[in-house]
Amino acid sequence: MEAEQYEFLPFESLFYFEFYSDGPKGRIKKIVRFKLIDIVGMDFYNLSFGDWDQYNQRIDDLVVTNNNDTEKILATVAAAVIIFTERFPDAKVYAKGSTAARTRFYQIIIASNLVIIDPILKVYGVLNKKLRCFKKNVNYEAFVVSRK
Amino acid sequence: MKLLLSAGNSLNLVFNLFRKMLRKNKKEGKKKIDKVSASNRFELYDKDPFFLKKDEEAIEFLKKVGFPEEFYEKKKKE
Repeated sequence: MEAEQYEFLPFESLFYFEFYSDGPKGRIKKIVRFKLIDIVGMDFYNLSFGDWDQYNQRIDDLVVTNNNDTEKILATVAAAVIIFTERFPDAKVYAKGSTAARTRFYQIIIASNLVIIDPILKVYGVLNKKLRCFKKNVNYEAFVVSRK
Repeated sequence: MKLLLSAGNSLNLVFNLFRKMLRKNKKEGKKKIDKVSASNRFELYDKDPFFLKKDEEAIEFLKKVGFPEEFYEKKKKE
């Protein structure tokens, strides 16, 4: 990814990544997780990410941090997906925002970085229960990414 | 004068107790944060009912989606 991104650390055989978001709201630990989910015959991984809430000792994927670095965060998550699919080339990574607005935002970020993503990953959008090749200006319900 | 001294001592006592309490909280707080390693966080993530439910929802959602043949093919390892 050429877009600016944070340095991140992989853990648990690349199923789990951590990095810090730095901005006006401070230093916030971000977490990316790839969880194998049971879809017959395929290696599907549910991608989720959120903030580490150190006071409640839990992960929060609904928090709005407003650290003015959303694009940098998503570029970091995309870099984690690239590394993960390099290690697990059969992996299909499923991503859906925790809210409709977030899913829409992912779509905008994918669309604006498609030139960079396209040589490495195949990006699909789910629309009306069908998987379609990702196209700009289409509102998808979720996304699936696989290695080319 | 005695009354003032006594009030001063009481205030000092309260202040010291408050400082002790703050120190204790700070110490315990730090301990709590340091105690949780990346591995612990991964486990917490993996066991969190909220995220387990989201994984289930993802499975239900994907089961209804039709996939192209290539999705069932395994890539040759280089």
